[in-house]
Amino acid sequence: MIDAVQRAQGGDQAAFEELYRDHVGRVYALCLRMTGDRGRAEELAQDVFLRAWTKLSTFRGDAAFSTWLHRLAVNVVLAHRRSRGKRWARLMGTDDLELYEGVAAKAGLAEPAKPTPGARRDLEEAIATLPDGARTVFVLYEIEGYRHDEIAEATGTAVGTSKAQLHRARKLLREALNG
Amino acid sequence: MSERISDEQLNDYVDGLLSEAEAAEVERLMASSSEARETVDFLRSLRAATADLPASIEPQRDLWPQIEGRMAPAPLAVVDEEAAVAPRGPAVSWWPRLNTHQWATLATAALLLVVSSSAITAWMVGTDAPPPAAAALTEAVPIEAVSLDETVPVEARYAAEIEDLMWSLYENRDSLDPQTVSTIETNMRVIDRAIRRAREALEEDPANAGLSRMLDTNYRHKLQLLQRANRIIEMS
Repeated sequence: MIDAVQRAQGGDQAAFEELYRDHVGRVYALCLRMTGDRGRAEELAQDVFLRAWTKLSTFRGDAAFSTWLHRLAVNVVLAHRRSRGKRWARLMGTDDLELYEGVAAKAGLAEPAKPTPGARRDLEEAIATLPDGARTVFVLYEIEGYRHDEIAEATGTAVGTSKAQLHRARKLLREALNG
Repeated sequence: MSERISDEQLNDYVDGLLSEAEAAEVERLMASSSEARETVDFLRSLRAATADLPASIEPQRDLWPQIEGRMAPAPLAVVDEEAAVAPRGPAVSWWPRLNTHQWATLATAALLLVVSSSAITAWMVGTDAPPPAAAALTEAVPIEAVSLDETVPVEARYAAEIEDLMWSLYENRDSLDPQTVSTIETNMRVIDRAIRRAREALEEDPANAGLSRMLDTNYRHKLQLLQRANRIIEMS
């Protein structure tokens, strides 16, 4: 039996729809968390699948299709960010870390929050309100399991910037979850 | 390591990024700092809560109809006007019937359409020159002697990279001068037409090494055009 990936590679759109149904939740979750915006996440998720359709011939089965698609989704979201040019550079750049230092100083006085599974919605909402650069690194590192060197390579920044953005995101989440 | 524990150290400790000795030192200092312990408690609980988030979230509406509607044509493909008005018919031997104009188109595309003008280069490195005009996007270069891997179909050698570059161009076309976009599209149409003709000719005469080389050259020209267009975007 030929699987959906092989049939889709042969141009079978119905097979590609099967792949869409199987994977849209994971792709949309990534896009939503990376952007913090439902409308933009929907647009990007569509772009991910359209790009997957055009690149399907390059998928050789070395990794699982879900892994391949997930990497593609990350690249599409980051490319979208990069297309916003200088704004992206500012968000990811070290200049922005002055703000981080200020937040860090304040956060040191805050009571620690202890998120629980019951606070999942609060956590999702808090992640969505993070600044773009911090949210991107937090999602890639904490949720998607990327290493700092992989994030640095994907975002075109330094490893130190990735770490600083992660620490900043955690500080901001601590403040947000403490209410 | 100083006696005060930095936030970076605490984060690295929780992330397991410290050496054994560094981790032991952080633990020693934490023993006398309730603030540091609370921070570590928070970071650990945050990590646990994050790990518990669902991997999948369904969008509130079905995205498939819009995806399907955009799938029909190859995305980003520059319209080949000839193909659009005259779809390929049954396999007839049209190759010997190529007229002078068709041969000229094929050869001209193979010989001329490469984007390597000094005008573009000057513009890209920040001179006051205006964006490249149509003429600046084409410059004659000779066909290079290339060693082809005959075991790989010509299209397969370039497909992935061309697709990536076309997607990037599509996503960022708004940042390009409209005249530059128009020039790129015009050149792309000519190259795609030449590719299509060379491909059809090869189907009629698969052993013709000259045609194979010409097809390969046309693809390389398309790749070069896209590479240059994307470099212009990066510099803009």
